[in-house]
Amino acid sequence: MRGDEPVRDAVAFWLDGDDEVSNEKHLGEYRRFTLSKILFIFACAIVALLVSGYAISVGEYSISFLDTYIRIWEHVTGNIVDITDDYVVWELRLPRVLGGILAGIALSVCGVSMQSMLKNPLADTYTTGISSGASLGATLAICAGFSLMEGPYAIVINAFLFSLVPMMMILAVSRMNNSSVTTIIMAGIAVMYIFNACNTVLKLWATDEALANVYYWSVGSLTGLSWSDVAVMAVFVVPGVAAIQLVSDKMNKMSMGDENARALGVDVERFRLLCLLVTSLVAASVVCFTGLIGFVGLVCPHIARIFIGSDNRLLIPASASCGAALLLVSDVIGRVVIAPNTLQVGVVTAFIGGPMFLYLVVKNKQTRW
Amino acid sequence: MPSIRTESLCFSYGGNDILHDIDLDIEGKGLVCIIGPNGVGKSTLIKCFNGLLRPTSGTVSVNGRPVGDYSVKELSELIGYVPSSTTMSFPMSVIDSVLLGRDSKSKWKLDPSDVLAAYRALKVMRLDDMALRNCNALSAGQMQKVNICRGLVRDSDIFILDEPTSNLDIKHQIFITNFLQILAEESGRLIVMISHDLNIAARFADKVVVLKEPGVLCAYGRPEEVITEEMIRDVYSVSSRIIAHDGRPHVILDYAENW
Repeated sequence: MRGDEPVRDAVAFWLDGDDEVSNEKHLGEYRRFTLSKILFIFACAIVALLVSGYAISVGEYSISFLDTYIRIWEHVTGNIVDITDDYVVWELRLPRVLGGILAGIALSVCGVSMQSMLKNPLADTYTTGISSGASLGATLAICAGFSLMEGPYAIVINAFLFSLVPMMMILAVSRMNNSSVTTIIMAGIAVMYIFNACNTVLKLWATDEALANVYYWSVGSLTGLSWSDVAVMAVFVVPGVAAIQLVSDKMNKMSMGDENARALGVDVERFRLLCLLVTSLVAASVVCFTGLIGFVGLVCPHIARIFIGSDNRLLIPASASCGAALLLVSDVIGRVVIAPNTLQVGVVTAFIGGPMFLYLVVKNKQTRW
Repeated sequence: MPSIRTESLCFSYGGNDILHDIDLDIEGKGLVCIIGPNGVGKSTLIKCFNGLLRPTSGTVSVNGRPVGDYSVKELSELIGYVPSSTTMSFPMSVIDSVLLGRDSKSKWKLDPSDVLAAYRALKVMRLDDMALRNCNALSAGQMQKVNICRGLVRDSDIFILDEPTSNLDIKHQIFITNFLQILAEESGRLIVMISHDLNIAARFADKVVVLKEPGVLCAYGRPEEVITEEMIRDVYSVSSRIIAHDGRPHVILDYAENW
């Protein structure tokens, strides 16, 4: 055809490829682009590691920052020098810190997953009703003495099982014909209101002591976490987060909309179902031990997005390290700021995360979501 | 040889009949343009081709095999698809958005061939200097070209595009349609696109599919056989005159005969 030589050249370029120099230039540019994001992940992870040491060192029984790492090393290698130090570090404080790391990772990764799957920047364990389900389970056990299982873990098990109820309803709604992402979120919000109403009714007949316990549970805390609690959390959190990371490329495709994701090879309905199931289990496994720690799941993914963008392959580890760091910093502040009393971690995360998030949103002029 | 065949294809949305008894046999390399008035079922038809929609009755076969027999993944590898528009819930960088079109072999390691294919596609569309920008900084036309890049890097035998030139200026409309025509010819691909521009379809398409109300096939054939004054009056209720240009029909539009 007359005048189509430039277009033929473009087709030839597309089919034959670029020259070596340009290829190297492009690869270098993309590697640098990715490296800057990986550095953010490492920075957050290092902050979490350093704060872990500090969190173990502070308290009524003081241990120096460096000694905490030495005590951990001595315990791991079986060469315990100071039994008191070892008991305080290993039995009292390390489970709390590891629990905090697991909770921070789990809540923020669940936030990323829910926001991506439901295509909503406000999706987290609250908007999907998981938190209110756990809260109702705990309130039933504390106020009404109703528990699905007896024993020391009655509240935890109740909270866990009840937190799965909203998930079941969401999954049932998502299986219905013509259900959209908006329908799923609205179902979650409806469940949240119903459960909150039940909670309020239960509290009307509760004793003062029960009310205090419910309040303590509902603000979220890492206090009293034991090794067995951490082990149970880890059983759900580690494989769950790894599974979500493994499907992060599919989550990216889901962000293009259901139709496009399907055209790119994602079995949309099944994938969303599996992701929501895994996410809910991970979130429930944390919330039932720690109580309701708000804000981490909602805000950490957005903070990470501001720094590294919306590519879930990197956003998931970035949010995880950011969540762990934020939760540990909040816990340390809660323990230090009004010592010897403790401010619950859920309250501190909101106090720190709120202004930080507002600052970043206002400073970051370009809209990212 | 790539092929798409439909037999008595019917499709309804919630009781509303959209497509009626479509019998089509598209075979071999080349650019096929689907034209027709708004709401006649063009997008529905191509979504039946790649399994995004399931026909109410009738069959669709791709490369001789019913679409329903393919898995979602197999079909996505066989057919590249560019939607008419894309809304990203959380916009990512231009290059990462194009890379979504590649199914990376490794989940952990960067595959240089993926990145180079994405840059090459962006270079063809003159967007390589915007590769690291966020998608929400792009205009509608630029985003349209990013969508085409994502389809290109899939490297599939069949490539389906839903109004790929709708947000583009005339230079880009001509470039992209001509590019798709030559790509089909040089690489042996079957490329199917929806267009509202009769002259673009007439000048570059190897074959033209015409749909008319109420969702029926009006004509399928070479542009000079299909794009006629009678067809335009029948399908669009528009009076026109056809002249020959470079051996192909060229439409001079006159007026709408009724509204």
